[in-house]
Amino acid sequence: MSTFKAYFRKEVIEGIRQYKYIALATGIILFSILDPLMLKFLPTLLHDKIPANLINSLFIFQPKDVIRNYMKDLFQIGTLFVVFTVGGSVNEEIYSYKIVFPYSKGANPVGIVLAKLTHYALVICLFLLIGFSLNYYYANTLFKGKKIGFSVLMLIYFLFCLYYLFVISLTLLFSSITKKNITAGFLSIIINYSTIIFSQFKLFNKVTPYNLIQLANNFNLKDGKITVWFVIFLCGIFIVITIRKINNVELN
Amino acid sequence: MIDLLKVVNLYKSFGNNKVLKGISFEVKKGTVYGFLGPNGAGKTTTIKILAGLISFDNGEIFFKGMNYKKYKKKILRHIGYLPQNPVFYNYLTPFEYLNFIGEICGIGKTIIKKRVDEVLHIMKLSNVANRKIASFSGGMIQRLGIATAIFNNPDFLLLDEPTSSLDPEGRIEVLEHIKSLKEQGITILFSTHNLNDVERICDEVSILNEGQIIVSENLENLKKKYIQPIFDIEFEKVPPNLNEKLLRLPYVQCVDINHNNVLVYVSNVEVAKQNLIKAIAEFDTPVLSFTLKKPTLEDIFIRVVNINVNV
Repeated sequence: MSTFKAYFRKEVIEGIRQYKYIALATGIILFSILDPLMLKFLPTLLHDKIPANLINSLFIFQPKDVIRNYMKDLFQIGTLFVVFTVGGSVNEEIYSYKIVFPYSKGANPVGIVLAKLTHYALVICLFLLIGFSLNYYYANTLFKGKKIGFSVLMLIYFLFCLYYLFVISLTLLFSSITKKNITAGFLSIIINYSTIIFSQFKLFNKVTPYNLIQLANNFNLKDGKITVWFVIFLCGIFIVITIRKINNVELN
Repeated sequence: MIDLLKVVNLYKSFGNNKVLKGISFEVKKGTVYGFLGPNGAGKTTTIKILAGLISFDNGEIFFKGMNYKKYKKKILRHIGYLPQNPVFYNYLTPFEYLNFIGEICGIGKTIIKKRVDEVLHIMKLSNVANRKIASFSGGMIQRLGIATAIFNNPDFLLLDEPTSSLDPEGRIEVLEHIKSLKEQGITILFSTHNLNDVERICDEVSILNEGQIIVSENLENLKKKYIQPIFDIEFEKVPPNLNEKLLRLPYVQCVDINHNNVLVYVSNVEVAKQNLIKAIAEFDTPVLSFTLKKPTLEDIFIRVVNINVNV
């Protein structure tokens, strides 16, 4: 527990001083405001280039569409920000020998990994909450049409939190088996984006983390229990492997 | 004196590279134990094993009689370790970093606060306690490294070449700190390839070469046996059969000829002082210089290997 507390505090300071929070906030919160504004002003921006009747038929957005657009950006762009921020988290400790002093003082690998996971999970969940709240507000304020309830928004929020928990734990795992931030980031991105392909097969759909995004897009958790539990299981497996990797590392 | 640490037949390999080939040594409580050897001799590997950073293949380690493998976590609480190149989180200040270390050690908050002030004061870092580590010089980094190593009040301190990256002033400063730690009763294992450092602070010395301890002595004996002056003679042209003729002299242990320079290792300096010059004169070859020089680590190796071969 003492290792967990020490590392958690260290991660917070690192997040502030290494501008990691700014990077994460940019990837997660920025689009929650930009997306509704872009969709609102898109018809105005394009009115010279596209005939008016086409604009009226093409660009009819409801609050649901705005939130969907934000979710799409979160998956495509937000994931990139998260992956490359978390990517150096473990390998930098090991290969730049920053872990040497803590290790020689008896730091516990379980505490180190859990502190990093908890820290990033909490920060990203907080940013997601801010992002979804802002997006929800702008979507409902700027657009007419059927509004979605706050409880549905919370459901989407939960699914995204879980999806990002998967992203963080997968990236931490890659970070523990690679030497460079960029390698861990790319491997994680490849796996994350390739889950879209697996989700196309009916056989794999329910056990694919991307199904969480699909469920969120449908504003529905129906038939999603298997996905939720399987993703939690995967996260657990990734974390256990990461801890084992750090535990067996030779700081030579 | 009681043994604080006992290492028996320690082996370690990295792939096919055998780094430690069955080293054994004992460190007595309250002493400074010097680990002397060239790069690649196995000093850092031994220290890293003792600091719990890498595992070992074979052998046994006992700390205060406790088996290292069995009580590793408990033992590590009594050990402080300073790596060759200490690395910190550069965005932290020494104050924050030592608090972080204190928390990892599981020390209570009030004790951490007191101890942070204490070690910063001991290592003369109080005035930069709130400055980011990124702005520190090499000497300051080394001092912060020692502060971190001694933070948990260790009984046993492992210092891996603490002076290697420092300028002469920084070196003396760090050696003085090590001396004062010894005075506080801390047992120290200190690795270096600098003979002067060993002479300055060590009580016992082991010389490592290619993963084996080739000599283990207390400093006085080592000085008597190996750290003896060497005769450095420069000829205009080295006379033929010099080697054989010099080796016939009873006090000459070994002769090392390099171009026109000849190093003569002797067993009795006083006898050699009186007789060697007479023996050299008999060769009837111009001598450009005849000096007594202080041995380097390399010279000691030559002497040690030679003595071992003769034995």
